[in-house]
Amino acid sequence: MTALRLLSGRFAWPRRRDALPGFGIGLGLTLLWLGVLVILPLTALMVRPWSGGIHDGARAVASAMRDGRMLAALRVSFCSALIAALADLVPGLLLAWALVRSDIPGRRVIDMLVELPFALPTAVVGITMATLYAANGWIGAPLARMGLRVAYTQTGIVIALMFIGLPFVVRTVAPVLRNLPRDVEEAAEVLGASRAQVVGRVILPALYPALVTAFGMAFARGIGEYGSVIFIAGNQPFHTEIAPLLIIIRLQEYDTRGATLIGVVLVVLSLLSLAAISVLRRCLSHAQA
Amino acid sequence: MSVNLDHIIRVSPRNGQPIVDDVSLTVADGSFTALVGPSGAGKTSLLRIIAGLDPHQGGQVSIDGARVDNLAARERNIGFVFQHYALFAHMSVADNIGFGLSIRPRRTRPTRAEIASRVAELLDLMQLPGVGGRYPHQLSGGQRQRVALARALATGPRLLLLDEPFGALDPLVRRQIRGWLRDLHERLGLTTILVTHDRQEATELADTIALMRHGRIVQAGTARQLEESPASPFVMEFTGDVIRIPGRVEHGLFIADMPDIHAFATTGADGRADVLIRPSDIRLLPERGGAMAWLRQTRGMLGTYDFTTSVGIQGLRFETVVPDGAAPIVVNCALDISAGRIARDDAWIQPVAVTATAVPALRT
Repeated sequence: MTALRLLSGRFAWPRRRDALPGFGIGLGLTLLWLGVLVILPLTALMVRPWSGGIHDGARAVASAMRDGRMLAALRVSFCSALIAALADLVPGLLLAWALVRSDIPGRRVIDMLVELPFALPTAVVGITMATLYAANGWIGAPLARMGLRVAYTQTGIVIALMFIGLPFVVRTVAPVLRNLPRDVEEAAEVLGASRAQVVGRVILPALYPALVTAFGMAFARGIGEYGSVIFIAGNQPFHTEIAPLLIIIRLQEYDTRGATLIGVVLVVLSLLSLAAISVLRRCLSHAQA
Repeated sequence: MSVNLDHIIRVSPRNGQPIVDDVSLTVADGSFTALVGPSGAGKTSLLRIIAGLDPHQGGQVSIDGARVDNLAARERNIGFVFQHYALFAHMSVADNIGFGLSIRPRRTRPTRAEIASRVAELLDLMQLPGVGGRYPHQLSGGQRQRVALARALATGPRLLLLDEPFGALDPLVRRQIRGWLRDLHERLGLTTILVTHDRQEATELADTIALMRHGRIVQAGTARQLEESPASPFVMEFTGDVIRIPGRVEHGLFIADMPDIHAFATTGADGRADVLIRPSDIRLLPERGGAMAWLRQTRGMLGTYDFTTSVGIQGLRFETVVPDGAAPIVVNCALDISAGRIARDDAWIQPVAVTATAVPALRT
């Protein structure tokens, strides 16, 4: 009896009542869900190449590392996602600015349209883009006359990824911009700052953490994006073939291990990138608790 | 630097209502002026017009005799302290204070070392040693307020504008900073305009008080002038405790609706009217009426009375001087309110009734 009380005393939950009812049960269910839906499949993916023994697995990994086609596909995926995410920041910021700060007509409609890339089937986006940017398409034809080819090049991939990534930037930056107090800008103005200085030294630095987050989300989405890219990419091995597509190709060749290995590399690289972005964001926002 | 406001008008861009309605005011060089009034009186709007943060539709603003209406806020060289500090959250305290200097064009910008020494000097002046490397969110409200003030002073402004700078502070810190700000003003001699809704704060800090209401300046003068000769019932009610006693003027006498209040002579026209009186000016007259006054508590010479009339259950509670040898319960008493002022429709109906003689209370 005494021992029981001692135990319950030592392992008692914190006394503070949480505002969320059933927090303990909720957290437990969430962790279970996270385990079943996220961690379990990822672990299975990680373990799969080693199913035939350590030596067998190591040999497979080593040969994969020399697989030029896979490396090229990974490079295409990561580089395109990186460029697209970076390129999204400028129009994303401008769009967020327009939605928050200006009274342009049809603001609400634009606000709604921003989310469209989330709702559209990615294949529809891909086919539409491929048609538009093809050498005889509405946008592709004038560009072709200027000597620019978009469809079936890496530029095409980047444009498709930009379309997919833009909502992330707008939706991440807009609320931060909206909550930015106006008096801070006025304070800078009274102290003698020009409009450019207000933007460059007061507003943008306050948005950096949000911009990094937005970049991270657009980048992560870009690495895994499949549907919208394959139609415009042309899918030439070594040039415009993206990693997710190569996984499908490997699977169709019944090369499950090859497909798994690409998956593993994608997961590891994505995790590393996201960790780096998270560190960067923390560095930038250390001043703003 | 002196500031001259000449018939300033600003209308709300939303509904066209006047926010600042034909305001003229002169702020003397080196003075400390307070714009006081209830919320929505247009105090902050007026301050923002002076700073150039809000446009105005009529009149002109001059600083030191030169018109500044066409100058943008950044060209006016005015220090402005915002109600919620408006510090730059991503900059250290030192960078916040040095901001105004560091953004100057290259040829007028002080060197890094000069900026650093100016920042150190201001931190010292603000009694904020050693916080230069911290970030605003790490400071208390009072510290943030002083950093905001230091930032406003860093560029050597010719005028300092304070927009409810103590609004977000707790009362104790508020009082400390108030005293300290007054000292600072005396030391720097910088022309200062303060916006506040707290009359006590204004009285303590400012030489001149401009009381605003509905976008207009109702009265401007020293705290004493406002208190002793208020221009309207509103000024009187704003500058201190006031008891309003309804009644009427009849044949040159003010007669209160309540019984047991002595009527007194006035020169106003007949009709409904109110007497406004500071409670301390109310005199209790024992053995002169039919009411009862009950002394609830005393504070030095003053006592809080519950005054109950003989007819009906009408009452007043007020704090006034306790007459010599007064018992805790005074029966058969009456009130002399002839030291009050008579108001009708938000204006005085006559100047001060100085020589009013008390006449026996009329039973109604």
